[in-house]
Amino acid sequence: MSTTARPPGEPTKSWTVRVRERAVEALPPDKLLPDGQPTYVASWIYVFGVLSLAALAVLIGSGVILSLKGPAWWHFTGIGHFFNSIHMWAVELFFFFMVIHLWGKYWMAAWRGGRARVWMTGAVTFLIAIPCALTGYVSQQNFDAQWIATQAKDAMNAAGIGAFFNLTNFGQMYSYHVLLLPLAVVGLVVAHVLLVRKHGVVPPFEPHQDATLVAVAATGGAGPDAPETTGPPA
Amino acid sequence: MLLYPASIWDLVSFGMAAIFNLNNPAHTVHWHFISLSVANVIVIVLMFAVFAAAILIPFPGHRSTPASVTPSSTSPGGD
Repeated sequence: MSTTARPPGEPTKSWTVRVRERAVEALPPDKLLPDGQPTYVASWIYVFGVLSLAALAVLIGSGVILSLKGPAWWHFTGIGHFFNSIHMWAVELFFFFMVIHLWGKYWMAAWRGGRARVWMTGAVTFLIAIPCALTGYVSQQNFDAQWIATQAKDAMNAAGIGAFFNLTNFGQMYSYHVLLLPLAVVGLVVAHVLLVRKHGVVPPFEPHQDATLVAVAATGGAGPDAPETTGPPA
Repeated sequence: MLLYPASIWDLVSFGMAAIFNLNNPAHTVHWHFISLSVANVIVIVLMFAVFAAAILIPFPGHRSTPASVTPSSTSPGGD
């Protein structure tokens, strides 16, 4: 099979070529898989993003094994208990690391420099991960799950979404837990990481910005760049 | 008495249960309308502690002078 050489910049009707060119333009290989990071990344606070990813990988791996083996295995065998515990502790660590990652990025205003989509995909991932974990509680197939489901259904009904999100419908909750919500979380995490690759890791504040912030605080909100006002203060 | 075959995990579980008595309602902390289990309070305190440690503890191998590793793909600071 032969290919026809096309001059650069000339439009093409091939959608695969268009997708490839746009992908390479947005994320060239050296940006997608870099071999170095800026010096400011040498801080423990920048570690919690990748720790969240590691916990998510363990979470997905242990979840796949649990779904393959089923409730009788995870409730009544020693190795089933072990993987059940691995799954539970991976969730704990995922949220633990993700919350610290969120705090760190919030206080360094990680949406700076055109990184709004990076921030938004991270925030939405956090919000979707919460029902993803809660549907796990009601998918355990034990009395604990039944208790949580019958209590939480009242909240869903009070919110008016009980008809669409029925906590007592095990099949629906299990589908949400093992497919729909993990798919959304993983998809958003992939988008989040690709956006970080595209825009780079957010840098810390520059010293002059710190000085500006101090000046803003000292002047009650009017920084040195604010227009001068005349007359007595209100 | 064990009702099912014992394994190393059963022994670990029983050992942990001997240390942490879980055979009672969860202890909770009340403050106005806020009600948190002690377990959750411990996790929240741990998160604050780890957050502070991550900021304060120096990263191994980090030098105070800027190194040369600054890929062109990253945006300049403060933008």
